Amino acid sequence: MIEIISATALATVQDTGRSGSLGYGVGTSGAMDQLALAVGNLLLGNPEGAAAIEIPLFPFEVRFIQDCAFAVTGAAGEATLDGQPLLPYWVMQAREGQVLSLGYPTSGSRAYLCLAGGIDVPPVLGSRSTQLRGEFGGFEGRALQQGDRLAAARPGLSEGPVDFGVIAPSQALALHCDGVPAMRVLPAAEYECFVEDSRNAFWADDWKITGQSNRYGYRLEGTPMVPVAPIEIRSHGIVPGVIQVPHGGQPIIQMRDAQPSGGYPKFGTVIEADLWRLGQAPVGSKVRFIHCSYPEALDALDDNRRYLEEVARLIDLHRMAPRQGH
Amino acid sequence: MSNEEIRQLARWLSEVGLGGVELQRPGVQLVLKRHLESVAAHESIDSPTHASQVSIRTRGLGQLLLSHPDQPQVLIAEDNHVDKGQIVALLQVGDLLLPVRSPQAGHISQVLLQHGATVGYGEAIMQLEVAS
Repeated sequence: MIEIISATALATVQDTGRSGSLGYGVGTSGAMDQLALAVGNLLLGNPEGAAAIEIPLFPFEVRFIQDCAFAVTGAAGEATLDGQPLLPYWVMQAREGQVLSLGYPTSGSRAYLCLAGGIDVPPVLGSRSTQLRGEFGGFEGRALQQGDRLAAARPGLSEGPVDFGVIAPSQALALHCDGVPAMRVLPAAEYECFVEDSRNAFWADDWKITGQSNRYGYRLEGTPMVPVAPIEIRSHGIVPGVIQVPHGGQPIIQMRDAQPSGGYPKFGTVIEADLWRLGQAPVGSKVRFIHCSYPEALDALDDNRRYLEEVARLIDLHRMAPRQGH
Repeated sequence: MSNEEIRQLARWLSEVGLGGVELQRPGVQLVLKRHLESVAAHESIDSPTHASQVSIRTRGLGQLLLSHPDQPQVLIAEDNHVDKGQIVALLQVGDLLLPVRSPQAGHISQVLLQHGATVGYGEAIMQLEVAS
């Protein structure tokens, strides 16, 4: 059990997402950085889809109401447990009464606080993710507030090893283009409807992530993209990662809380394997897009899976090693 | 695990004068023991003439990191004060990072190894000057 003691807004309970409900008009939700969530669960020996707290604003503070093992993954910044430094992507045993503080990130933008066994909230439509628009799922269907108390599914003293960490996905799966964080993109249905200059500029230019970016979508800023002719299309199904270009020519990337349909032309889609990179790209930072084929998009998913398997294998080995006292 | 790997392990054992090794991984359990009159202890033995100097040693094999891969600053520098239990270095084994914590409070008088060095079990990483 933990209690939120900071007043910072917009932290939510998230898991791998609510898949299979788009047909009912229910969006996907889920962690913006799925790799950070997966690694946090591996560090704690949690079930694969266990829920965690996604933290987009800092400082963030919680008090442990009882002993509980925890891991902090995702954005790296100054973190402390009762004043003692906590390293990024690290698992620790917290004791009753201890306070965990997460400071402003120096890399990445969203941190994940994972608890042993996962955050214990009831699943709705097969997921514990918070559906903000529908006001259900997660913790009472809303963002966390000061004084909220959340239970871990497996509190107490950890039976598995604690006090170790892993190499972050941003290091193990680094992807940059001219020193700028990059994401791979598949061209989508209306790609050819934009003039060649715009298409070329999309791949060659830096794109700034504007302040109007959140779990619903990211608004980008760059050279406006120009269609060959005005495009009018009916609303159709869209998924997280879809890059739409509204009339102003500044692209919008749909993210985890996107509504399930829209009518803007679709220029491309950030591949599923790289959505976590976007989830960690801070407001005001610049990103680049790399043209990618369908087989390459699948290979990228394999790369992510291999990284997670290797982390899981090493943690299993560490679990078997004789425990060391201090 | 191949016979060649087991032979290599045995060679390493004899080279560093260890009495044996026990290795466990999924599906494999290996125990190697050398015939020795007495097994050399690899616990730290600190020189009695410098009672206030303590070596901080590794508790495993791996690559020594003096800073975290996500953080530019070193975990600890020479002349810095350390608390008991504070992380002074990391051992990297593949994607895994294991902490090296200071056994006592004191001052780091010397950092003996470089960032990125490959280290074995029980190697001295730093000299710690204990306050008493």
